[in-house]
Amino acid sequence: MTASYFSFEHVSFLYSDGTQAINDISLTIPVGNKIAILGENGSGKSTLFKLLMGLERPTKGTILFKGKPLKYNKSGLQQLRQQVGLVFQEADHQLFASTVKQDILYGPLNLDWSIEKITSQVDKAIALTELEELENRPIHFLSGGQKKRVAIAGVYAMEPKVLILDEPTSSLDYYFSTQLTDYLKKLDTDDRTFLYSTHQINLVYEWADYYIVLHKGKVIYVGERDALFTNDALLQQAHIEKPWIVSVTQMLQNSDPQWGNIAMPHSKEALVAQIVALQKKEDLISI
Amino acid sequence: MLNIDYIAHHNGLQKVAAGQKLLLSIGALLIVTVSRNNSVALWTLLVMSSVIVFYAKIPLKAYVTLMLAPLGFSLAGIVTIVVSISFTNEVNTDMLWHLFTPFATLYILPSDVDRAINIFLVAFSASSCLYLLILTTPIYEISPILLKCKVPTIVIELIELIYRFIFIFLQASMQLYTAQQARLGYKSYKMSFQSLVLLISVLFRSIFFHYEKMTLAMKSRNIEHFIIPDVYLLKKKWQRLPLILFIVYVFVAIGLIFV
Ligand SMILES: Nc1ncnc2c1ncn2[C@@H]1O[C@H](COP(=O)(O)OP(=O)(O)O)[C@@H](O)[C@H]1O
Ligand SMILES: [Mg+2]
Repeated sequence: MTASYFSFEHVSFLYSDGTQAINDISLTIPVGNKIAILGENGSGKSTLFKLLMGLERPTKGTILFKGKPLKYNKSGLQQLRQQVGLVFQEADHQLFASTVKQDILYGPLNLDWSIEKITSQVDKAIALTELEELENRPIHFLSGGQKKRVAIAGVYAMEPKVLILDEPTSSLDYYFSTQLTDYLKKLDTDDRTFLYSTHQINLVYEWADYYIVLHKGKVIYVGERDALFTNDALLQQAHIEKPWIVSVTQMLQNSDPQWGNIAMPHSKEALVAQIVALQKKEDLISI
Repeated sequence: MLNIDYIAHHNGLQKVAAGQKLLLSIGALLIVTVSRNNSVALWTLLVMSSVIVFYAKIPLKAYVTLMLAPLGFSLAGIVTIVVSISFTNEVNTDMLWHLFTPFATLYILPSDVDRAINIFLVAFSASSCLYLLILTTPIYEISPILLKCKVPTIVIELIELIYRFIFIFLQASMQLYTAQQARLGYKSYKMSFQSLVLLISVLFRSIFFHYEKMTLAMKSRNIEHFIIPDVYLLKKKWQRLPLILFIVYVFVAIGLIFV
């Protein structure tokens, strides 16, 4: 059995108005994976993250963190949140400091780090999100995308073991959207887990190695990407776009017998490599 | 209004230590309010306004607009001091002006005018002192100083939070107002009132909603206290020019008191 950060055991969650946002979910969040959380609007992604952060308590069932049931007292939650960081869907709700640098500083300040470590972490996060020029700007004079980058930097600086991003690219431009997975790669270590909810599947298809699909508060898929993206009925049910790599590969497979047994590639490079290899083989035969 | 915070971060006095600005502004404020002297008040108004406009390079238009608020308040306050009211028909001989009505007599006494002018000048120049601080110093630079002065942490944090929420409030109201305007919400008088009522109720709801979300975000980052220790703020040295300015100001003020 592989190690896991979180385990959900028959977890349900009802909002106080009676909305059933999470409905009897059982799953584990493994250590060291890059996980994409997919699902239509209102499927419960943000609620799931609130449960992971201990911001809401399950109405039914238990959540285990590192094998122990979550403790909802002050020290228990503090310990949890030192290891789990969440970038909220709306950056506006996350930022509260006066300036960019200060907001990024707040998280690390509340960890028991030395001054040197705090300063270096903050500078690293600022450099990574390319915020140097905005460092001393008051938050309310930033654009939506810039705020988002500050929010990401603020959580990034805390180096959480589990890093959760709730639709992080929804207000980012193309450059920063593609850049985000590069940022995350720099943080990638064997014991760090990423959870990334998104509707822009092409942005995470190469990067994410594990997929969880929510639909109306239930988990309808957990696992590797291939079985998910070739299951058309499931994709349709959960409003998930098929990654273009998968579409193109399937088209190739169906177009001509010679492409019939191309394996499903996980990156553009892998797709091109396969095509080139097949082409070479053919050239050899025709000679 | 949103601009105040922007100006506080971008002005000619940005590199001057917050303590020094605090000394200049609060020092002058004390001198004005304790001396209650017309010439000192005028002198202070002159110095503060010059520092704000020429040294801190805050646009004159912004400063004048901001000064309109205390001007309005002090003028309104003065009316009640200047105008006396009498319900008997006794007429004081040295009145400057009077108005008989069937019920009472309104009149103005010269001594009251002097008092009013004095109060007006003192109040008005005191507000220029405070503007000097507000317009050149972001709130978080003042907090560590307050902390050193043994102001309770909870009070400082409240000040910072209130300050933050003023801007959230303003921003939310501006967004809502724009959204309503875009859909012609203020086309006629009747609609304007309806829209305004709606704006206010939505504003309160959105502020509470914002507050709730912000609490969640603070919890999830484990944020317990948020006065930034001054090791993390840019080190700013005490500079000579503001200090000389302050000393000159104080000497002239003392001179004026004893003239
Ligand atoms: N604070 C709340 N109170 C009541 N219902 C809520 C609240 N937040 C979300 N919901 C409802 O819970 C369901 C799941 O929402 P959410 O987790 O935000 O979905 P997602 O993030 O996947 O779009 C939705 O039906 C939504 O309307
Ligand atoms: Mg959501």
